[in-house]
Amino acid sequence: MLNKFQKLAIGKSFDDLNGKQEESAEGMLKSNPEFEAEVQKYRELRAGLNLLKDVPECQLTAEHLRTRLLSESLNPRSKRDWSIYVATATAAVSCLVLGLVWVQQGRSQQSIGYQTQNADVQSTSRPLAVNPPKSILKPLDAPNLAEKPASPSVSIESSRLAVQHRKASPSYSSELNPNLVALNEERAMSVFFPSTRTSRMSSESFRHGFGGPSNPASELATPNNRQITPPMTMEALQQSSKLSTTGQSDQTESTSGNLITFQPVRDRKTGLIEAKEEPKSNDVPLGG
Amino acid sequence: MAINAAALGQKNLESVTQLTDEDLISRAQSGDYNAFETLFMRHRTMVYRYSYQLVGRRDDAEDLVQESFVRAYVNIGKYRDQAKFTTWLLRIVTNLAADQARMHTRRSSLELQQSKSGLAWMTIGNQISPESDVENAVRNELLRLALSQLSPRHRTAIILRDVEEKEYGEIAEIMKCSVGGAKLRVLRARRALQTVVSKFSKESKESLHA
Repeated sequence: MLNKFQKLAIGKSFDDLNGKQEESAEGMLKSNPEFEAEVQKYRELRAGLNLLKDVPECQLTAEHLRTRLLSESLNPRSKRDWSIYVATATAAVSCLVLGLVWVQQGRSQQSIGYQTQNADVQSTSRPLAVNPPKSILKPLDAPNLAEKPASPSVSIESSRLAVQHRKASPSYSSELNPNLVALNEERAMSVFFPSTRTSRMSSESFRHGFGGPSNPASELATPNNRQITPPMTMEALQQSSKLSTTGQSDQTESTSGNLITFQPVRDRKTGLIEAKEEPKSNDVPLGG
Repeated sequence: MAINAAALGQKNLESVTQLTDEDLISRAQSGDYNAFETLFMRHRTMVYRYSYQLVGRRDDAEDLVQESFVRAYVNIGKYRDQAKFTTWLLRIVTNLAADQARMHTRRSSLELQQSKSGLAWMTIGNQISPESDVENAVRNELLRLALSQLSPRHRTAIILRDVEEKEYGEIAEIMKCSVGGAKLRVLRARRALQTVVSKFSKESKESLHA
């Protein structure tokens, strides 16, 4: 750090002081020999620096510079064209917005599936009214939703996602005959979840055979969820199997161990697909 | 016809040389090389003097000048008239010299060792020598050596102020600092230079006695 003594000595030597500092330096110069020696030392330095002003003549000519520029093919860089930067930034932002819209559309399509599913929960108050493509997936989640006080569903309004909470219908189970419900549960279980081994096959056949929307909940269904499957009549099963386009007989396994096989033959009286219940056997081929 | 064209070219060159720096720069920015060459001829000596003080060798100084003008030519489009053209030029020289100083630090240290042996008989001060020219030359050599030992920042400050006699405002612009900062740098640079010179002087005296 420079102290005041040094500052004054250097300033005095190089004539860099203002009026007040000059007076102070003059006073010290007369009274303080050490200060005087310091000033003298810097004055010699200044004199030496003045001698450095003599420099040899520059021999660099314009031709040298021109030759150098030509040899390296150097040209002035053009001024920055901000329109290019603006156009680039605009394109980048547009791409970003398009990407976000695309992602949002993907999400909204998923949410439509959920909404369809949840909307059907309310329609379950109408007993035995089965809409084949949708009702196939309905029984898995309907009881869960009915147990909860409120279930979220997503609907799209004006290209925006809005989450709505709808109450599940309380009259869902009260309007049904308990005996019929139990019977339907058993049959429905035999169709949709004949066994752990065939549940994956059934899910695939529903997805491809009926062409209905895939239900992620059904993919994640566990045996615990299956215990609370809602009612479904045989008519509904026949109606749903009627829509099968595979042309092959659907083979399912009941909880009692018997296999229910849907034949590609229609009943003459009713016009519906026939089904046969067969004892469980390893000889019966499974698959779609 | 050729004579008329040459006369016209000469007339254009004369008209170019009468233009101010600002006009020449705008012409150079438009691609007029004659305008840039006029700028070079006008400020070549000033840039060379400063370069020579920084590097201490004529060939190095000329290289530095040439490199500085090449950079100025390539980047003439970036020049804004917020600072004087000479200030902008000196800033380029300063930056280039600082870069070179970093690269040649090792070379300088070797030269210092060689110079110290030659300066053993030399002193600074009140000694009166009949060969005053030789003494001045030696003193210059010692000062340049001492300057080369300073940091680029201190060297630039002391050369701009005490050799080139620039105002503190311009020094601040070249060194990209405030005026107060420039004053402080100059003050510290003078003290640092004096410290180095005293050290060299003391070493030379000791070697003389030995």
